[in-house]
Amino acid sequence: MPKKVTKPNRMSKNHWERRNYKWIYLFLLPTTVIFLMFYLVPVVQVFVTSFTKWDGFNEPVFNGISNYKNLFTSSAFLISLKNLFFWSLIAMFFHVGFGTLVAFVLYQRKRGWKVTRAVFMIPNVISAAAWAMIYRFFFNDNFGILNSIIRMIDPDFDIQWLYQSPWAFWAVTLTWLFYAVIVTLLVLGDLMNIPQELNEAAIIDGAGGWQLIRYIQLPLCRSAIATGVICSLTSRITMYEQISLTTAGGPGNDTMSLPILLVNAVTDYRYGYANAIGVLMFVIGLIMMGVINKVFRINETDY
Amino acid sequence: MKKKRLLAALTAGIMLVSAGCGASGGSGRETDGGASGEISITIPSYKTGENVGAVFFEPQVERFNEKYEGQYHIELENVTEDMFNDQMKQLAQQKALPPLVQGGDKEWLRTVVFPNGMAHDISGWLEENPDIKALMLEDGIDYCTGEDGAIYSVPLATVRPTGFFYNSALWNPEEDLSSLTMDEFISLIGDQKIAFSTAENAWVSALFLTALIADQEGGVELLNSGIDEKITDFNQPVIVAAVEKLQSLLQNNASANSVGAAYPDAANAFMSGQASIISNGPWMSTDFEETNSANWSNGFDGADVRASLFPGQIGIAQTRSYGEWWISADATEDEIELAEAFLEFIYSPEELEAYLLAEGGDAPNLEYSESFVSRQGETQVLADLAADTTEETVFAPCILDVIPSSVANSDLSRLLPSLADGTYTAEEFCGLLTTAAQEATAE
Repeated sequence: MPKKVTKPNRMSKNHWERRNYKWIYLFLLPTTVIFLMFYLVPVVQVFVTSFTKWDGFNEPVFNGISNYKNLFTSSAFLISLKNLFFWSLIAMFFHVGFGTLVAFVLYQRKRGWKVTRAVFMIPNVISAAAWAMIYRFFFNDNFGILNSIIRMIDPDFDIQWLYQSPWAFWAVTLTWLFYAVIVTLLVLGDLMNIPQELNEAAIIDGAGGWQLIRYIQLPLCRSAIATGVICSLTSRITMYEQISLTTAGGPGNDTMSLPILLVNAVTDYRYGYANAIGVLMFVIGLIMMGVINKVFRINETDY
Repeated sequence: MKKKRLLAALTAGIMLVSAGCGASGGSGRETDGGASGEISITIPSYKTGENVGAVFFEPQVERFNEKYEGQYHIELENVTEDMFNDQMKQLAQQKALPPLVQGGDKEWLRTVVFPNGMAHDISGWLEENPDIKALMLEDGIDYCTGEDGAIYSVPLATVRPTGFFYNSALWNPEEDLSSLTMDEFISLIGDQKIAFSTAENAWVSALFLTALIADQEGGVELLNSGIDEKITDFNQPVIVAAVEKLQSLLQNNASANSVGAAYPDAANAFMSGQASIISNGPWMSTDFEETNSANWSNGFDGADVRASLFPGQIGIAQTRSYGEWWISADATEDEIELAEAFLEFIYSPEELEAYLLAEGGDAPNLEYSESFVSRQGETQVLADLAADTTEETVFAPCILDVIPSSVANSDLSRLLPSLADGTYTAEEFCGLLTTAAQEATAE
């Protein structure tokens, strides 16, 4: 005899929802107000004023796409885009790669892995500005650790890492390259959540250490790696302190970035132009997120 | 159930209020006309706390408060110098400017504050106080006076020409340095080290560059032209020739830490004997007093320091400029009364002399007292600068004040290291500055 299937009581659920709508709306209200005030309105304002000539005080005057035309004919802007492209590649493959590697090492849970994780966390609690200052000393030509060590081998060695082409780009890159604890924590979290049965089943089927990583663990922490890539790339778009406090975008425009250009525009009271840079940063961020979502299939579930 | 609803409504209400409160900031304005009848205001100032300007300014405000006890009182609110201009802009946007404002970004004053009626016209007050007006620099009055005759910024009464300091223990020339030509000076310094800076706004290098430009034929006129309209063409022969000389100095005479050095690094190079010359304003004289000897090293002695204006009798100073103070248009009558009393106080001969003794400089229209003259001679570097400042002195504005802000604060310092290491020639350097300046001013 077929079992009687009970139809879900949709009416009563809807009734319950209707009765509580006012509370739902009431609780949503603060978030909505905050979103409108601090996110939506400023974002819309940035978009609208990017088509104006605006000094930040007087009324903005519509000037069409002049700001964007000026941007795309600016050599500093084009170099900053090129830098962003290369920094993004480095971030994607080396920064996230290193973070993921550390996560897999920690996942082995060898003796002292918790201490290692804590130590790996330390740079993250030091502000980017403080790190920038530390690196200024690290790369200092006269008394920096790096040149002091190199001069033990080559006493005539003389490179101004932060102020000479092409070293400045790599010196700035080193200020963030190995601080990938966010990626490590994200990946480690996903690795820890892999059901033990899956690993055991793979081992019973004859999978070795590398195969286990390659075919089971790595695909299952795909979303965490993708999130790490998004975090890392968006940080590259907004990277300011590390550059401002070390090279300020120099020498020349070697380490120029979009935020530095934006701040420079603000100091010249060119808020419309600055907001055009802001819009492009926003758009680049969205495109990057869209591409990463697609490539890593973030929205697809694994279990 | 009712209790739960009440609790829920209360929670939602608190969240909403919190969100609303988060958006509101504190006002920068605070005035108290207490029952005692004393008019009291609070003004944000960067010349407070550890700032070098606090040494003179804080006691000056105290003297004012003592003199007008029970009548007027000024309270100072500490704002760091780096943040001051931005804070004034934010207060202006919130219509919460203090009644008496201590300066602000000059470009902002010129293009935003004064044209938009955000400042109180003090021309009437100046007419009522001809003795004060007589002390003010003519150039300053002319610059501060609008087409309609209104004066918003209190014109300067003092000029503090910037030259350079040298450590006579390392280099002790017998010549009158300011009367030499720049080429003679460069040849005289030989292989002496100069403390330069290239980071931040490359302040020390910018001062030398200014002097080198001013030394060229038509250089002073070029620099002065930038006061009204920013210089955006650096390809002019006057500038290229000056940059060539600067490059030579950077390559042959710069102290070891110059590339990448901020101002404190340059000052440290000078006060540790690693450089025998540094350019800076007279306010640096306090660094050479025995009370600041903790900052000296390698046998440096502040007593050995001498000062001079630049060769060609060039003193870096902007006489066509806004002054330090202005009154907010939103100030009440009581506040204006207090502000004017404070301005009268600081423009009194005694206070001007006290200021010059503390921070150096010259008040051309002030007849100095005998005690001032004798006391000025006690500080060697101030006496040196005072002796150099004559009717023959040529004043030129610092290049940082006559080029677009982003070029002054960012591009110049980014390009200088490549000029120093020879990556750029002087022409290339000037070409890049021109591109940056034109991009910064593109419509």
